[in-house]
Amino acid sequence: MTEIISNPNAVTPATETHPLLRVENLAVHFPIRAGPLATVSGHVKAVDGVSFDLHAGETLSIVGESGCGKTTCAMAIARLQTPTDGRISFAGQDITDLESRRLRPVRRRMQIVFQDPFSSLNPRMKVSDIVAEPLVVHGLAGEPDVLRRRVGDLLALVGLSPEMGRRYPHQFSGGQRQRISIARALALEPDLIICDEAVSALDVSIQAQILNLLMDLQQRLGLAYLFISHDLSVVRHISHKVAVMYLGRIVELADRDALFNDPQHPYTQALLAAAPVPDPDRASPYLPLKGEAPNARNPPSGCPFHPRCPHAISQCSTDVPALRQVGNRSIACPVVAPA
Amino acid sequence: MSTLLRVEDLSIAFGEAPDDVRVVESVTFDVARGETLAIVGESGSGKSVTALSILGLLGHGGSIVDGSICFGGVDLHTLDEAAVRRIRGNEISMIFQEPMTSLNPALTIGKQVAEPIRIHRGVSWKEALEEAAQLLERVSIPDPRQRLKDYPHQFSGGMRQRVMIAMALACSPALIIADEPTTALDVTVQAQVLNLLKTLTREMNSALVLITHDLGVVAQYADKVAVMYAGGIVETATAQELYRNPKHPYTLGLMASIPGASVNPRSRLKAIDGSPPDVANLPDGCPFAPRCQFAHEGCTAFRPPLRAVGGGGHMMACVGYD
Repeated sequence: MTEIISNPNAVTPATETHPLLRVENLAVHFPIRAGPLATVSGHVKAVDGVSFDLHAGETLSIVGESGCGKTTCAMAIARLQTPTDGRISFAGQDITDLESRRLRPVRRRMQIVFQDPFSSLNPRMKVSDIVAEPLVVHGLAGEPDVLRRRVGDLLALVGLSPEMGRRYPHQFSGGQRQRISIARALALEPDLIICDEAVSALDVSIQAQILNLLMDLQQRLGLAYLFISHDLSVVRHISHKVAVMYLGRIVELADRDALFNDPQHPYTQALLAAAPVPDPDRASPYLPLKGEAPNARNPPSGCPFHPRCPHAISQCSTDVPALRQVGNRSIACPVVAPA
Repeated sequence: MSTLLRVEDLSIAFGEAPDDVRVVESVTFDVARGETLAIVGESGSGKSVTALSILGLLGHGGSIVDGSICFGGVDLHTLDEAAVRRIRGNEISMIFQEPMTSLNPALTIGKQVAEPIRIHRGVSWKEALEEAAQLLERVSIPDPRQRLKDYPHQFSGGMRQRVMIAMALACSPALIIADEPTTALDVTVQAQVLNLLKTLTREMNSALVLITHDLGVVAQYADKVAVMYAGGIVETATAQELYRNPKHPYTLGLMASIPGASVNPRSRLKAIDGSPPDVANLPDGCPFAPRCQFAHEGCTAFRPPLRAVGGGGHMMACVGYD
């Protein structure tokens, strides 16, 4: 089954100079409308100056709490959300302003798996039609016989039997539905799959199965994943690199081990400290966080984290810290990484 | 510590005929004052239904078909609705998962927090509101007197859940049942809410039954744990014992499924094959047998009861291996 699925684009080795995906200063601002004439009274800066590189065959996770902009960021990269500013390059091509017709070939190589396997599959379509749909839409369906075999192979690839294609989504469990979503995403042989909380709705024993599947597929097909998640233990397991977001900005970006073994940004430390560890003998070594994330409509001045930060100095309330390369990571904090 | 709540051989069925679908089968556990018992399991394991049955909140179609729920020496199952109502919200209170839907959007926070105080203690609205303000202060809501006049939509998710805790604590209950109290919350807020719940129950010397699917939360906050699968308890022990020395194949599988610090990053997780059975259509014998790597023919003969393994109340329901 692999020869049909094997991906000619996937063998491109990861190099420093040619990332598969390059995001530079990405911003997505939503207007706040108020009053009887719905005049624009301000902007929610959902994503504000996000930059990172993702190489072929690599998993980059974006982690953060609700409202930090991680999903908006992913949707802008998939061009399902129009960026306000910045640049998105995919496989060397600037896709920031591509019109929808010219976006099509890009979308073939960039697919999404969504969080909720109950609402992201059309309940009136047979599973085989769901998996075949991207091929039909992109005019790659070919002869009915070939298509049927192809769909069967895709289902087998995600651990379902080809006969299951005759059933409807409601006849499957949550984990199986997520496998169907993954099969659909794989149909076009993409280079990049954006996983937006793809395992968050699943029970832990099923979640482990899907994580194994994602890692297997990455190894076999050379896929890159942009993995959006709030779950630190999942991120720790699946990622090569991790970006931590807070209120629309990346506060720390590092290799997995550097980030988890030696978190430097006060928010990263707090986030790791708050995550409950499945070990009654292990207390967390970092300071617990006070308060809650501020409202994105009315963010604090300077560093958005300063009102909750145990290390804040006066400069933090006035200057927005830039993401700075310090040693093995990028970090936005004037205390930990002074200019 | 003397036992406050003892649930014994509890079985719950849903459906027209009393034995239609058994969603909970012979569940036994107890909890003492000052103690936190976690009931952990995946969706459909019966953990929430067990919790609801303690409060007599099974609703239409659900009924207790066997067993007893002994609270402070009284079998709650034998009481009439009026007697249960005097206990519910007063001696036993409940915190639900969704702070968005379990608060009434049309009533002020003050009214909702003061209501149980007024009903169960018979004090005036004025006194009840004063006490409500003190409760909000105890759960660290800034400017509590002013906030009493606000509506739920003016509170964040974490603050709403703190309001729920304030309501649950209003009558200093002996037993608090919290059903996935932090599942809808962000992790930094979850830590705040769970720490608060733990501190306050300790102060009141209450018992806490924590229903959760999160083995991390269990490890950090529970004294005792009961692991549920397909409507039955498969293993129970103190939290330390369970994590150091898990015995039941399902517990072992769950622990191995959690990614994180103790597993090599990017290694294959030892996932449990298959998915949980439909409780309406359970396999013969042990319901975990079809997914169990240690299963043999003996496992399909009968559903194994809990038996002691080692000391300190460590028990598991498995005949397959030792």
